[in-house]
Amino acid sequence: MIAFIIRRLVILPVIILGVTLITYAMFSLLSPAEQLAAYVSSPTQLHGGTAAVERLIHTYGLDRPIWERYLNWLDNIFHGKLGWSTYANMWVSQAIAAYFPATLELAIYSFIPVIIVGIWLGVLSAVKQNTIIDHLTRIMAILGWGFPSFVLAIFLILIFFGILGWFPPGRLSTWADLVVSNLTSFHFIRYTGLNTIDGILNWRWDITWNAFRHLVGPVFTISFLEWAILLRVMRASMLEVLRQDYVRTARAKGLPERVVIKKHARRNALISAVTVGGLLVLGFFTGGAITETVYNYRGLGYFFVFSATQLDSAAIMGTALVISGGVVLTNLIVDVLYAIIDPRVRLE
Amino acid sequence: MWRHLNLRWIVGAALLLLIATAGGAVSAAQNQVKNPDTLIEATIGGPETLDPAWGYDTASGEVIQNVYDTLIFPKADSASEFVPMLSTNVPSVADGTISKDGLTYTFHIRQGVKFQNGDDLTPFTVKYSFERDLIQDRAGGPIWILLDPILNVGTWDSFVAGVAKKMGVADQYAKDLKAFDPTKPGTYTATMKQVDQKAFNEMAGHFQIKGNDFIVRLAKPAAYFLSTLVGNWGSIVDWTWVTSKGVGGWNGGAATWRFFHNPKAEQSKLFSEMNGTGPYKLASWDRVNKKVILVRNDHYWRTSAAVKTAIIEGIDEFSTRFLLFQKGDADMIYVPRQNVGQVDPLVAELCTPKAGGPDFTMPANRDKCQATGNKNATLRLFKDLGENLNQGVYFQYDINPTSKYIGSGKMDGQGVPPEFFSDINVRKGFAYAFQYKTYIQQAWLGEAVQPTGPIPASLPFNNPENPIYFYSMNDAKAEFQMAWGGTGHIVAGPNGVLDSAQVLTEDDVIKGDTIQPGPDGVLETSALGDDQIVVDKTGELWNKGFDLTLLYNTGNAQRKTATQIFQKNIQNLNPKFSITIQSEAWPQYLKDLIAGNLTMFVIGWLEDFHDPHDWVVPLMASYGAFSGFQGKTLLDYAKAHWDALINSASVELNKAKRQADYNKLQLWYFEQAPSVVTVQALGRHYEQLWVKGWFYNPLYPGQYFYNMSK
Repeated sequence: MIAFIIRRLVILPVIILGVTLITYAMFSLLSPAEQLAAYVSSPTQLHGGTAAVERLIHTYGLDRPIWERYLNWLDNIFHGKLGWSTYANMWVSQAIAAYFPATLELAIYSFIPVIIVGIWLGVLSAVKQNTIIDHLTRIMAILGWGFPSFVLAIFLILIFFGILGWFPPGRLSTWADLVVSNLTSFHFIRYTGLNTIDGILNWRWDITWNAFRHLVGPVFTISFLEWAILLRVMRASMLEVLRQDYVRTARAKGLPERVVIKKHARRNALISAVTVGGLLVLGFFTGGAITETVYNYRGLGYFFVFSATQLDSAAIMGTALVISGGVVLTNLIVDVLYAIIDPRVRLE
Repeated sequence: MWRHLNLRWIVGAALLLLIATAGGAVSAAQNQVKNPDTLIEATIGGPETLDPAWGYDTASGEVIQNVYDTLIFPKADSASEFVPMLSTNVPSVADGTISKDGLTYTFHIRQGVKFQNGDDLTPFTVKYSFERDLIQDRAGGPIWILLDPILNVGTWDSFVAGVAKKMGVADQYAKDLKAFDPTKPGTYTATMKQVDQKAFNEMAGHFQIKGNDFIVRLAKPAAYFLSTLVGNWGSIVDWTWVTSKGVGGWNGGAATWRFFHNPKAEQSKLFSEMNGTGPYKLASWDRVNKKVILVRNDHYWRTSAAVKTAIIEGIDEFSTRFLLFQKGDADMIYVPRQNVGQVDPLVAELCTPKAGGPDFTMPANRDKCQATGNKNATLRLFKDLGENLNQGVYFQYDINPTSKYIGSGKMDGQGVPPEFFSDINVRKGFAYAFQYKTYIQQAWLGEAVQPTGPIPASLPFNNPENPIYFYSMNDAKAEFQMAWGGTGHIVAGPNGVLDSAQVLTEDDVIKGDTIQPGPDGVLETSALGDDQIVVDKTGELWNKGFDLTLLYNTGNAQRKTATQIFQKNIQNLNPKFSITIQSEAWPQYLKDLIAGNLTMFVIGWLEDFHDPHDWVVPLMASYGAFSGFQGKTLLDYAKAHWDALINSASVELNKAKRQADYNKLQLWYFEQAPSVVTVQALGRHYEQLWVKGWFYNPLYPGQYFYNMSK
């Protein structure tokens, strides 16, 4: 197992290097004038005509050979900067670190209900196939899967903030933001960047409560969309396993149904769920842009999408690097979990 | 899969219906003031920098304006008058603080003013601020605005290169400069050092301190100089603080400026640090949440601001901004034009300018605000605010022959030749084929006016009588018939007066009651009043037709509408005319603009300083931001015919003569139609009823919180 993990870790930099080469090669297809769009949001900045254009292109090094710029960028990576993001107005590595806590907080609170509800309902639905529970669960799953996230997000924010005033957008209310920004007499210490946790650590339960209120909307939106996927996979996998000979044998041996389901069926059915779970985890970190936009909840997904729309080349390449690293690491974790769940994998 | 797709659509449609229904049920803000000590503005985007010498975007300008002060400032309800700020006087010829030759300006620096860190304001730090502006001059930045009047150059680089030339070391200097790497001090050669020091000293000679006075000596008598000082680039920074160890900025020395020249945003030492003398201090710039928090400067040299905290937050999603506004969690928000219909039912007070059309300032008094009678409404709306922003259609005189938007590249009905728009009749044909009023109604919801030329109505030296193009399919047809080899003449209309004589163009001649083409055979004069164009012979364009593509940048509905109007009307003139409309993402659009691939471009100009010079240059000068991209033919024409008058008008101190100069330029612009300005925008401002003291000044890049309270 350890050799397996080491092998995967060794491959990691090779994959990441490959990703950087491909991304950079793609950028080289753009002309300097196109790449200039990241720095010129309006032609009013081009006072002086073509001479101004040339000066801008030279200033940002867009006239240098691609290999030279690529090496500069690699140098940036080794210095832990990943280039300057024109969208975030900071180094890409800083930006990723700055956006990460919001996404992590969202992921933590979203992932738990997704895993518990998804797996539990998936198993329940399969075991109670074609009963009213199964039908209801499937309907909810289809609804969850069928909801466009922006519609659900807007709907929820309209009802629960617009009408009821319960769950506001953003990460904190204005008063709470002033507290954590140390603009009141209270000295607030940032320990983790997670508002719910930092509130407790600073013994400011009002901040924690406020942060929770802001989390409800995006957590519910993301969870409702994601658990449906896990449920469907778990249900299908469970149904397949339940038809296997070894399950029939277990039942024939007279084992209690609870044991058959938990020890023999569910464990094997989890393999598919783990695969999907790995993708879901990655999705939490990269794919929440729409939900984050509607709730004005600035996380990594928001950063990825908005920097890409502004042709922020450093951010695009930096995030490609991070995402590819994340994919490799997630796959590694999934493979390890396979081995834990299924002894045959270990034997291979 | 189709089931899921159908379900997705059904669920989506049902939810949208629910949202639409529930939308009306959103409870509006209560009358009780929320966050009474904090002004909250929810807008879009965020600042690019906090460095006054670097920032050129309005978001940066808004923050800078609230934290720094300038020597003079726009008068509250006027864009053309100034009040003293860090200077106790607004220089004038009358009191001798502007010399008679218009070259020397004297500012009496206010005493007893302190920066937010406690440092004193001195004439020296004022001088340093301007020197820092000039030597920093970053690519694509605003400093050309100061360089032009003070040193009579467009860039600091060109000034230094000029000094090298005078020293006779131009070639060596250029060679050394090419090899210079600021991270390798060894590349800073002796030649460069000599040139740089000489250039710096020459520049510094334009600034002088006498006692408590700061004196600026201009390179030319720029009549617009004072108006350039009110932008964020005119902010006064604290030398002691900038050069402190913590900030590490330029020390003001001739030997060091090179290492602080043309920085990228992140290289500027004042990128995220602020220390001004202004009414607010920077508390935090949260770049992740696009949020700037400002706190009141309790030691402000004027009376302190009424509100303790001001927050500017970038929230890109309109529905979220709007919800915060409805709940009273935002005091003012940016409302895109397409969303005004959602907000208007919540308007309780409607404030319109004084009678007589759009006003370009909106004084703080509420005399013109009236109750709307809307139920449960809690907002105030200021409408018809004249913005110093116009939009125009710019013709490319020399389209890149490799452009894929000109079809065959020949006048054969399957494309257009690259020099298609160099024919004056083609440009005029397009100008007449545009439905200005329809465009204003459809694309601007009626909230714009058609300008009378390159200088908007809100500016001094605008000529309200300048002729303008109007929608006329007959005139458009005649112009297209005369284009590319056709001929025609103008005859007086039923009133018997040859109205068109006032815009007699180029070599055209008046013969009796007609205007005939001159030796070049082209009728360039436009038909005015009830005059008629009589076409004698149709040209190649009319006979063969053409096919070209018009482009707009993706997502810009107004520019799309403009191209659609051209397409519909021009195709109706002749079945052989074909126009295709295509959208492009901004990067491609920018590339095509620079490469000369666009056949024409629709684009807007927002003024940098309040003077006609900032309008005729971008639209007419050979070095203009827009005209500079319209092809060599136009550049050569502008150099030969317009640049001299543009420059002389800018330095003319006699107002009557200056008016005459600008009248001439505006008329020339109409006659030649290098571009056609289609609209000057009218803006809106929404705020909670509890907000007090807001007023409109088009020179402000954003909200000026000092005057406001809750």
